[in-house]
Amino acid sequence: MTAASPMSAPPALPGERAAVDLGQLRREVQDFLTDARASGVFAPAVDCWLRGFDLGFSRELAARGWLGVTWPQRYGGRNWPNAARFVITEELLRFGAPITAHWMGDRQIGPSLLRHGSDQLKEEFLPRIAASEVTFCICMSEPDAGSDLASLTTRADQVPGGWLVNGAKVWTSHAQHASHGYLLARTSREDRRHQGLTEFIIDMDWPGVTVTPIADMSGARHFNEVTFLDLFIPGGRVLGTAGAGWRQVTEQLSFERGGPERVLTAYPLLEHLAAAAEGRPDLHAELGTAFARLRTLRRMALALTDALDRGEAPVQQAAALKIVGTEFEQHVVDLAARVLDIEADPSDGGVAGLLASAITASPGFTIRGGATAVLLSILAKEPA
Amino acid sequence: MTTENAGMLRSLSDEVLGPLATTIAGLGKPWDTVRELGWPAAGIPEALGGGGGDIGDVLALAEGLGRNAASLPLLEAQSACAAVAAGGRGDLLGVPLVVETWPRWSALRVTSDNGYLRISGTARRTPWARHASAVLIRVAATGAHRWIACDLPNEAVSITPGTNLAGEPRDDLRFDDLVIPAASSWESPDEPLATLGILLRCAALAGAIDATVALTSRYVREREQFGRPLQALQSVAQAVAMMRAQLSAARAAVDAAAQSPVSGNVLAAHVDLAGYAGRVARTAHDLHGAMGVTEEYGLHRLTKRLWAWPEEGIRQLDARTELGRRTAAGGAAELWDSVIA
Repeated sequence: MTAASPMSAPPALPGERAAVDLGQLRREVQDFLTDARASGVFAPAVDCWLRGFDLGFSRELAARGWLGVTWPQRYGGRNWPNAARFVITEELLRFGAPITAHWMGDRQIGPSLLRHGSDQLKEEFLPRIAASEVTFCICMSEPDAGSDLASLTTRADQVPGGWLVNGAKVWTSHAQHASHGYLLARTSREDRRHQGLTEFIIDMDWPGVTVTPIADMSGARHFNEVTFLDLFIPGGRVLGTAGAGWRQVTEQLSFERGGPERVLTAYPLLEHLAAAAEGRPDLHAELGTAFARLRTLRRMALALTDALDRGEAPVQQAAALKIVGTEFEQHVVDLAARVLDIEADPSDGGVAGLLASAITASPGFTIRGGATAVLLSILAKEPA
Repeated sequence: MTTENAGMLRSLSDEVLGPLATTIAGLGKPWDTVRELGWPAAGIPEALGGGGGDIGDVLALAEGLGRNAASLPLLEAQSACAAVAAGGRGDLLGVPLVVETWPRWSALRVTSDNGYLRISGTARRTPWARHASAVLIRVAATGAHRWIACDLPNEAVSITPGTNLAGEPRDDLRFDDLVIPAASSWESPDEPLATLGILLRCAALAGAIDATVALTSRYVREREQFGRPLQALQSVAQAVAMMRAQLSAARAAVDAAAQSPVSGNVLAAHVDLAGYAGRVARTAHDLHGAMGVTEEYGLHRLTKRLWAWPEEGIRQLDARTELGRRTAAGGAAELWDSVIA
């Protein structure tokens, strides 16, 4: 498989992004996805970035050079602007392609490693994420620390040569498939609970790690409980600065929050609505309203990407997008359930099954990545 | 006016338009000031007799009008001036005020008669007509859509005044065998909607939403109940936060249309902004309590615009239906290209 051609541009100067023909890149991604869909490599799914784990497909994307594109070339990236990643990502999402296997690594662990990781960690992991040789899960939430993440109690105690971890994480999607995990743990007890947290990178097959599945209401097995019993982590696997985990993870979450996946999760259903509305004038007003909202939201996501390219961290705008975007995604699901001439049926392989999976996935849209109530508290602070 | 950046125009428009917020609707000195600044002809190339600048400048001024709830026919003059310039009628840029009207075809009878056009019928809800020196009438005549320029006042045109919720003139024009030389008309682009006028109204709506959110934020910070500022109540703080999210989206809706201001994209902005305008107006009044509905307090000048403007130019139901019709006609295959256009 050959790499995509837009990287024929001359090498960029340090600190500068390579020039990419975004129109050409978009056509290449579209052509690839159109063929893959037509030949049955994947069937369009709702919530494809959380429920579409397909390592082979992610490696196919990696072979084309479409993962980790914003990272430096020495780490397996292409030094492309965030706008290029945006094009790739929004096309994958709107096609409903199975992109879960590389999603956490490409979206947040890679960027976090780039910002805070040691040279050794960057060299060890970034090229392998970009090649989809490793897959990451996020061990963050705990039974008693969900929206209130800072109250987590999983402990990492310093021992000779590293750390010894005990505790339990929950809602860890795809821990059963992941080769590696991101772990946030308490490394010291401080007066202020936002201090004393540390980020780690672990191998999921290390002794002391136990993964137990939790089925969700659709029957899908992406959630897990992950328990740690005297898990030893070598000192070199600390991500960034020990004790500075809260600041680092807050940044990571703001990157996580403002992408096109907060808008396009239900897009395959909207396509069915557009198709169904031909010859159904009674649906036109509602379809038109949804279309208008989607144009706005996609523009918001693109503007956030441009802000990232300018080196800004637009925390408030990202929160705004996630609030309005996920509200829209749920609206599309509700609208489809109400007006498509079909009843949701989880045992069906067609539109009825797609609708069923959308309905049962939809509560998650406004919970993961910061529940709406939490995001409103971020936006309630006076704008900077 | 030379090309100025939108940020400068933003503060300049606050400076000029801010003091006008409480002026009774009308022209006179405030309008002279705005004309001297060249704002009605902003965005029109200087070679065509306009003020120069780009669409971003024009939108910044329109947003400023909305943010300051200024009672002036700036948006209407800007879109009429653009139509005038497109028709090569630079002479009309010099008159105090030109406005457009888009009568329903069924409400107008237009006939060609030896080099003249004869017009009878009614153009309803024409903005600011009573103050205008000329009105551009968009008609379907001799097979094409045309603009006809008609000087006002005119003995063949009677004006019945009306206003929108915000007190802005929306007058009915009755044409009683108005005779205009055909040479005073010109073909208008075959665009079934008043695209520029609606886009400017969208920007003004975003400005009015901005000011409403700012006023409400200030009120809940200063107003004390239960021994503390209102914003200390979590439900109040969250309601304000939701308004901020909606403001952020309202701005993006205008940006999305301004990137490529063809009719479908502008319609989409018109439809989407209506959603934010309605919700922001409701929340703002809820949080202000009885103070917000008084004549003295300024909120109503903004919220009346948030209620009136989304239904002007093209009614929401018509706009939504038209957008949906186009979306359905394109089907799943064309949906995405329209989303990112």
